[in-house]
Amino acid sequence: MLSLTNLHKSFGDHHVLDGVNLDIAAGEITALLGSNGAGKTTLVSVATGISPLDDGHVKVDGRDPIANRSARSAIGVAPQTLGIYPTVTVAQNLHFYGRLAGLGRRSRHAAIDDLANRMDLQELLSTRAGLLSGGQQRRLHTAMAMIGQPRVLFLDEPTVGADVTSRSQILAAVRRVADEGCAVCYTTHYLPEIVELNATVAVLTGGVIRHRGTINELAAATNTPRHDLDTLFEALVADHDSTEVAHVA
Amino acid sequence: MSRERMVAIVGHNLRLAAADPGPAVAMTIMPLFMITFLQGMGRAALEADGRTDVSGAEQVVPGMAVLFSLFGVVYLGIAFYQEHGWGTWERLRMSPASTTEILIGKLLPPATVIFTQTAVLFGLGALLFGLDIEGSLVALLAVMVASTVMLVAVSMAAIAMFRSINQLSAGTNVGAMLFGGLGGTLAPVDTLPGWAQTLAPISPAHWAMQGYTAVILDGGGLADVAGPIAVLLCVSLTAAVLSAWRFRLAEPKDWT
Repeated sequence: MLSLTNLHKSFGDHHVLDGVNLDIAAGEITALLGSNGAGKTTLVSVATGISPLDDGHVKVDGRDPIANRSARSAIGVAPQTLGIYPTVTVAQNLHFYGRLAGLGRRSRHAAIDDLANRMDLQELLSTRAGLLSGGQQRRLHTAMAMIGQPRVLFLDEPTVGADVTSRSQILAAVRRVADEGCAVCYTTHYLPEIVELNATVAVLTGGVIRHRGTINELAAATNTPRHDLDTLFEALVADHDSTEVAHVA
Repeated sequence: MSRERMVAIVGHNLRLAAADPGPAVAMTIMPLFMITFLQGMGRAALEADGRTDVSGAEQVVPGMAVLFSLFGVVYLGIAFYQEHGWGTWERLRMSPASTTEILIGKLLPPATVIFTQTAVLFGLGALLFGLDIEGSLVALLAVMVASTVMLVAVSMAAIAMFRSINQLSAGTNVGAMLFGGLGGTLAPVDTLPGWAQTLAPISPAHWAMQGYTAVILDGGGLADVAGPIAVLLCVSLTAAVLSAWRFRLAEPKDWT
């Protein structure tokens, strides 16, 4: 569904992405992990076409969304920074992105009803987005990425600043879109979310995907207890001197 | 280019403008105050210029319409810088919408507001201040359209050049007063100091005022406004080339 091949991106002499290869299948959630500055957000930026690639290919359902803008209607993106229109209502925010994704009036209304239920926004549809709480705004921000019923979803730390309830609702909604066949690339620093989402893991370090697999597989490969996620994460990002990419999946 | 997406962006931006009508309302009310206060001075200036049987509205109504449309550069800019402040610009760029769809979708609503503001000022000028338009209304409309096109192009160039809304605001305030004054929006060019009369033709406002004066005071038609309109369109083309060269969708802008 999503195929990233040999992605390269540099800022001056700093090679942030140095040959990233990553495939995410339909229905799969892949948690993209990496230390701060590892290039997770850069990877999302280049894969979604807002930052130009130095080299490499992005394919969504076999189509190149960078060369062919209309292919972007198959992509939903929630960037790391909150992005909502505060002066219009929750429904108007969702309608706008539904229309941009090419949804007709009827399917847009149905999608908004469905998402509002999933994200507990149904009572807030006619409320100005700027009046929502931080958690509600996060849910709206994520819902705007899902409204177009994308085939591929990029969520860049979607639960940052969300309270426990909002976090659970966001995770449940992400799990459900994956169950419906969407490929999800999910960056996070909250490791328990990986378990909650039943996600596979891709570890970005040193400009490449250094590890790829399930939590169990990666724990076994690094001789780390699977329940000790912090230690596992440290083990995964620590061996970035290794020149051999560990594909354990 | 997708008509559906462009309509969506235009509609959304009209909703954003309607949700925060303050700037558009202020841009219409403020010139009305100015017209009220300056009408007598306008009449004196026109009479000093040899015009008779004038109310003063013939100078101050188009003058304030042109001057405040220059301040509209900030209004057009808000539509862009605000998106950066809200974090929605990045989202918009990630969407299927093309650069052309985004630019047209974002420029058309504020341009329509500015055009409407000018039309309302002329309408209220006739109703409340005794503005008598001697010439062709079609010619007047043509100058209004050309002025709006020029303003949109100059706004895009300004948005391309300035990094923050504060810079744009400061640049617009200085530019509007300078070019508005030089262009004869505050007083007829003939009454300005000699050096200002010499420099007046460099101001786009001068050509807009030339067009309006030809219609309102001299009873002109389309042929009489062709020259000013041609100059306004040349300014538009130059500004459009400048903005095409300088504007980058990916360039970050500051909302503060």
